[in-house]
Amino acid sequence: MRILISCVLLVILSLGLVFALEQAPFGSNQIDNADKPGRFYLNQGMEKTGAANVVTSVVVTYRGFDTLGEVTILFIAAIGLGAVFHSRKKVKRYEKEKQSASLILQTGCRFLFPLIVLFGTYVFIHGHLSPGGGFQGGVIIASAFLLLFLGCEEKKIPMKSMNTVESLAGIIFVGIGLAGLYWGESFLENFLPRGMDYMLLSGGVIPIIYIAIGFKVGAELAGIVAGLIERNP
Amino acid sequence: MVAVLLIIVPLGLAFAMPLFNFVSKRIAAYLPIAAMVCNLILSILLLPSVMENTRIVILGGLPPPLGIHLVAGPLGVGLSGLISLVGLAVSIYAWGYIKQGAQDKYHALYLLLLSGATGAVLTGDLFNLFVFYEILCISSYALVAYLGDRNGVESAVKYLIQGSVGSGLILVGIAILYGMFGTLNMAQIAIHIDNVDSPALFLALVLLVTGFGVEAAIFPLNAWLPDAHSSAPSSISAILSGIAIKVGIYAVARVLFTIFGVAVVFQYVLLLGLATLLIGEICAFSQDNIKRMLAYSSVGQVGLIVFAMCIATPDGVGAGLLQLVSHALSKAVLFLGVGYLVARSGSMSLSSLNGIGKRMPVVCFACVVAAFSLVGLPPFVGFAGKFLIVRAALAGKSIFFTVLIGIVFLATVVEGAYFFRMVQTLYFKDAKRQIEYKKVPASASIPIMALVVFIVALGVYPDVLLPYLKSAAADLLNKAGYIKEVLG
Amino acid sequence: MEESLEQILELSLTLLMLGGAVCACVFKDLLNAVIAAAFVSLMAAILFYFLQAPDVAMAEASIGAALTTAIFVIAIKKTKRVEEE
Repeated sequence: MRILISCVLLVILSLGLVFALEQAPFGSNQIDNADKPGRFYLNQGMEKTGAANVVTSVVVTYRGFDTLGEVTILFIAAIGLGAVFHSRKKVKRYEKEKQSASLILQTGCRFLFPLIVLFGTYVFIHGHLSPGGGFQGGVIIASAFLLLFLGCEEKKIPMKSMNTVESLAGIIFVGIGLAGLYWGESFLENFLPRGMDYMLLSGGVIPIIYIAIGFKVGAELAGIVAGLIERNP
Repeated sequence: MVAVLLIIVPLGLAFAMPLFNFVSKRIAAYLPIAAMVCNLILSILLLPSVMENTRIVILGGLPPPLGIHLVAGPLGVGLSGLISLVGLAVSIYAWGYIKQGAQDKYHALYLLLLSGATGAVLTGDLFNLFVFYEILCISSYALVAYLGDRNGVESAVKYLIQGSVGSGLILVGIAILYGMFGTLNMAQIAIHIDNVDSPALFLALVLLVTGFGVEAAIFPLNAWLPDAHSSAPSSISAILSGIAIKVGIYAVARVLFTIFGVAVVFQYVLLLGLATLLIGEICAFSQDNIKRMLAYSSVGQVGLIVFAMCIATPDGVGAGLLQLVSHALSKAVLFLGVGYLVARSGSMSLSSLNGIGKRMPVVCFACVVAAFSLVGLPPFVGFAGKFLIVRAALAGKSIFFTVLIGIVFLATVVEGAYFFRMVQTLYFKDAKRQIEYKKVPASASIPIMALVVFIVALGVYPDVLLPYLKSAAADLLNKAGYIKEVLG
Repeated sequence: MEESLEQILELSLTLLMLGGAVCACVFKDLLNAVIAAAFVSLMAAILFYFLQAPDVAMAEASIGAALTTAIFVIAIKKTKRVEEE
């Protein structure tokens, strides 16, 4: 009986949603109107900012303030977890030794770890030239640290260096914004020279900001995973 | 340009907190105080110049429709002044109150909460409003769970789940608006919305109001509030009841008045506000746990503020804003005072606070003043707020509003009943067991008494605030004026 | 001809995603439910690629399919594995 009522309600709700959303012009060429921001970004994004990847120039330059907010949200998540875990005890050593991995797994993890870190670094350094960017590269680096935790357990993640890297990267991001305020006219303005297209050092402050974001996200997520594994619930 | 510093200074200090932690552990408690003093001074300096003309601060180097901008108008700068005042008082209190757990993380989260609140009231872009609203919400989830005890973590999980569902709904609403108009700028959406008439717009309105209403604790969405505000440490309850709920109300008001501006919707939100008021006050009356009682009282007051704002005349919106200021100050004083009362007596139930007024006179006097201000007795600012609300509602001379004002009076009577019961418990009942008289530290009594001075001063001279309220109400109601100031 | 092939592919990916989401809600063994949720993220990443958004596809694949799955599995290991009635 309850399942019947919930199915009927679900059908009514979906019909209502379909009727309402049908009028919304998803996928149409709304942005072809020349004064809409979308068309402006596509037409002039590469000339104005010098980054070949338009998505990167949107994320870092045109809506850079939102990116600062998103980076802050990740920071809040990491700190919040640290605050809640502060009162929990660490997992004891003999519990960990019971579950150590096999020899193939340990060797494989030790071999793969620098390769994955290299790949993640490639993704965030070339964020303005190819798809990818700071967030994606940072998460790839964090998954490399996760692999290290699962495979080789005697290596420890140095938490103090992670915290220092994280906060230095955050300060660099805010500092670049304030430098834009000082040398340009507005916060987060692109004040460095544009450079040649498709070269690594092009796009003004965009590569620097993405490198800072990549380090920050990687350090934060690695810290979150470390905190989860090492503490009792 | 200065308006950006209001957001960036707390943000940058919070990012730098782990580095300061290496130098010394005690520095972390001074950073929020420094940041809030800076914010307060900047807001007071900015306020006279933005009362005449609103300043538009461009971010990222591009003018409004293409990039993000901040709208530093009378409403935004005034609210950020209120945020920094209450934030300063609570951070001085927390200097002495937070002694356990990872203190540097507490202060970093607290700075980020205030930075998110300031960003949300100052921005002019819809997605930016969502991002800063998320910063506020997520740091409040983490702060409710700060002590790590079972009650706190359970309330934080409930709050987190409901808040995340709300944020998902907001995101779908923003996606629908972007799909229809191609822009995320609030002024540009406001221009184009009058030309379009389709059911998808109604869906976007409902989703946005529901999503922002979770944080504003409007009637069906306030299930998280009593648990979260009663299980958090008292300084966090003060800042949540004082500031975080108000930012939710501001976001709902901004969406309703500036972006949509449809007259028909106001009546429904008015009725929802009235329902919230009744439910909050009636539930508060039956509580024994004092912090839960104050949390339900917050729900009720939110209903009253939403009711006042949805009268949709300049007097109504101005009265709602005055009630917002009065509730922020009074509820902060109540929660801060109750923090030490509960700490000294050892339990949160009302009967354990019997007769504590003789032993902790300063704190109890402040709580009594704040309670009388919330009920609406004359020499305090709450009286001015309620009087303006009644006058604004009766100005239209319609039967509908007269009946609603009758219901508001009924709710005020219930509110008076439980607050007088609290005053009677504090002063006129005999203590069951002897509580040792340890003095409340100066770091707690100074901010409480400072806020009490504000409550009394604004109550005796409410005319100081009236020109500010008039221009802030015009900022919210005058859609054409807002569009002209942003887009030229 | 190839446009209809692409449409068939997108439709089947969407149906697989819906099926995975229903399974994630219905399964009682939490580990199976987490794998179903990772499957949903993977299908979403492929669909993002078909909608010509490679940055979003990379972000969804790395965060949704790898990192949140790992965090969920660690959480399940420390609490209980089977959801009781």
